[in-house]
Amino acid sequence: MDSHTASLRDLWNRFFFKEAFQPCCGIFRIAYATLLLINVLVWWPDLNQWFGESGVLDFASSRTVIDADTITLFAWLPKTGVVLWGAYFLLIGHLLLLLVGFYTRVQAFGVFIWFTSFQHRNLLIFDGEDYLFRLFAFLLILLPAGKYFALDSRRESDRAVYPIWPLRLAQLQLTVVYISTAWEKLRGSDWVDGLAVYYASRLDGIFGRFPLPGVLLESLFLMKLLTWLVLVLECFIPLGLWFKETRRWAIVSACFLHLSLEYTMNLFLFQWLMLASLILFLDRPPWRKGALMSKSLN
Amino acid sequence: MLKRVTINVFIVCFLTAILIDGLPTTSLFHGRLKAFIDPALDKVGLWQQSWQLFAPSVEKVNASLSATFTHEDGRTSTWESVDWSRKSLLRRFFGHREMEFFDAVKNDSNASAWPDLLRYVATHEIEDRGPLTHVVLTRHWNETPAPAPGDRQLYRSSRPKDGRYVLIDRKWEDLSD
Repeated sequence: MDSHTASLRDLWNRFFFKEAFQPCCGIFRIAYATLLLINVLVWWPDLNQWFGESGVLDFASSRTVIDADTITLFAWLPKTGVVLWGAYFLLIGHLLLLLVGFYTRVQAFGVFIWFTSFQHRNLLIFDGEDYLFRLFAFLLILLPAGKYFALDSRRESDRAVYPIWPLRLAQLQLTVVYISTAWEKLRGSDWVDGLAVYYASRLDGIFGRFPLPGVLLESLFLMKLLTWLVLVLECFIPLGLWFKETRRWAIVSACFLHLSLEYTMNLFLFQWLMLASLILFLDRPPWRKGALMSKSLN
Repeated sequence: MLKRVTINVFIVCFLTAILIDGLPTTSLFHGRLKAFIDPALDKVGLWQQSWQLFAPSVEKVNASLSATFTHEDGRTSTWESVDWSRKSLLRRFFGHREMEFFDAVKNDSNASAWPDLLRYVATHEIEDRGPLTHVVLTRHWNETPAPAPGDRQLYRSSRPKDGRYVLIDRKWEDLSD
């Protein structure tokens, strides 16, 4: 084996198989479960309308608007209201137990199976944020999310370390989301020409959440600047997150970007999910950082 | 040793899948790879597609739906999808699924969902529930014009919509055809 192969192998092993203290996984689990619980509870008043046989899309029609390869448990279950509500409460149960970290991997598996089944039952009511919720449910099965701040971790040591590869996969998944959206934007003339914010600000319903100064919506110059700022931030964040020297700035930039979008647009929980997933890039909880800093000052 | 090999194989497969499926299609070969792995990702629930998020182009159309139902005695009932720009913050938050549904169902690619939608509206959304004979489903839209250089007043969208296209115009009994 030559030295290049050996160093590449070392690099791979250090990147994926280092053992580390990962409290961020526990914090992420709590944030994720809280957000998905809110998401799912919002279905409650209209559950029959969205997923029932007498709703807006019966099961047979729902299969015509989704790729035929997708699988949903509802295909094999009796298409009755009792079963639908049973599945719904099962999903809520899994989420509550995931939140407190009780048999965490089992709960994450349950959330993944049921949330995917609901998505594949009526894809027309779901969007990008739900796809990301689904992918993170899968990653939570792998992450040591029940090892920190969880009922499962009662007997674990305070500084327990675990292999880092599941965390790396989750971080890489988030990076792909940022790179993909920045890349897509660079391919379109609206973003490169600086007109994207102008067009987005004219979308009824989606834009206009909280009041904005009139001058912002009427000045093409400012809207071009904002468009290019979004583009620059979305190009910087996925790279900046990976280097210790720039990580803090990337996280601050991402918080600024997502909170600004949350202020201006009605995109449900997407910005909060993105903010929650940034937790996966924190080495240690912020309050521990604060404690360490005050210790060193003393 | 076997455990480490299994994990390595899993990592390589997972990364390959998210890179092929999650990044924009760059070439014909990439497109073919996406199509090749798509059935497997669909089956295991790990599909994602490229993360477009208002890209590569921002939608420039505000669209809505309306339906007119004709009753046996000749009376008509009309229905319109919600105008979200007039709704409160809370209503928009709790109505997010409804917003998503109508945003998707208005597209031609989801035409197979229109009969179910009309049946649902006829049973739940219109007040007059008598037997129906005819139905017309229409899509309305406004297109946001590109700003011209030197524009002093930029375009603001508003209802009613300028464009109108009839999606379904048929007898109620033929709705499923």
